[in-house]
Amino acid sequence: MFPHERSLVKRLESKPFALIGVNSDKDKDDIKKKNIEAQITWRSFWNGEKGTGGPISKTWEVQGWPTLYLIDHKGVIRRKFLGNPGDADLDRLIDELVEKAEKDK
Amino acid sequence: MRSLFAAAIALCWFGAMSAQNDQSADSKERADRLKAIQGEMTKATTEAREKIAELNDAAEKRTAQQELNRTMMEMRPKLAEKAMALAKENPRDEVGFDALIYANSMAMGNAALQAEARKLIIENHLGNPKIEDVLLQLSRKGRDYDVALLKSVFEKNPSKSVKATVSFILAQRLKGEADSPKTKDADILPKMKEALAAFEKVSEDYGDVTLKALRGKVADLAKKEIEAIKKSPIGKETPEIAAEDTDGTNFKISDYRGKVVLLDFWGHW
Repeated sequence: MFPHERSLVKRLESKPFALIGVNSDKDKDDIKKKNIEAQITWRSFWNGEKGTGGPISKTWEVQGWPTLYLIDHKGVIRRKFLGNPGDADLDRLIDELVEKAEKDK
Repeated sequence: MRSLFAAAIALCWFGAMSAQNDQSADSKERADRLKAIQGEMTKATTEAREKIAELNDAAEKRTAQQELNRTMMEMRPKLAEKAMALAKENPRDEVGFDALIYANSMAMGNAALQAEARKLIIENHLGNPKIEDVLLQLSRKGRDYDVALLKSVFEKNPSKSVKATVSFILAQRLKGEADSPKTKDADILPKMKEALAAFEKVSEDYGDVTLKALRGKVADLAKKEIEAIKKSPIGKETPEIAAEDTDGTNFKISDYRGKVVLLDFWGHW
């Protein structure tokens, strides 16, 4: 998933789009190192030291990893995917919403 | 005249009886052969298994386990073919059905043999209650389910638990459609509603049935799905997240209002 996410962030750099993670690793110090190794440049909330049992995933009732939510520019949740939905479909759905966000500007 | 008639009936009766005896003797003989085929794997691997259990050295244990796995992988296609040959002698009866199921389960990687087993099962056993055990696998069609097949199983099969399984799979399929990235925005909520109704119906019709394939009672399984649909976040306002990032700086998801956000629950693990 990381390589495609990297290219998404790059492709939509100047567009009204943000990739935000909720990192669910337990060891916070370790995350930085691994982020550099995996070239993860986007920002992530930290789910806390309970890892996948942390407060954010609990509030959102996340059942599996990865889970992705696609949120429009008005803050409405439009899609939820348990597992990778596939690069092409994900791109298409994001592009549609980005286009709407630009029109509303 | 009358006695001749009676004799003719008796003859027919006797003929029918002996044919039945022949048939059951034949099916018993084939059942025994199937049992022998099914026992081959256990027979060939018991000794190795016991040895592995006794090994203390982790590396040795791993090597022995790999060796055993290899033996089993080599045996599977051969057993599949043996069971298939047996099934073809009479694919219509119970022994034939058991042999087909076994051949199908052993034929992983052999698409042609699996397709052949599948075809014979569909031709001869849609009404067999035992189809329940293979229904999930049998009705898979790529990433989707073969709806026509499921519907004809529902019609032809008298078993309540088979009907319940079919109904539940069809409801799950509707939910899967609602969740699919291919589904158009405008269709998501209607499809969810449809799935909700399907789960409610299956729970009403078959609530007390236990589904072997899905390991649970319909009422319980459906309840979980119904709750999940009712709690679906689609179309709802994003709940605020205010927390620190992985560098220790606090931020909020609402800071990104005006932008499309892909929120990814992830981990390095």
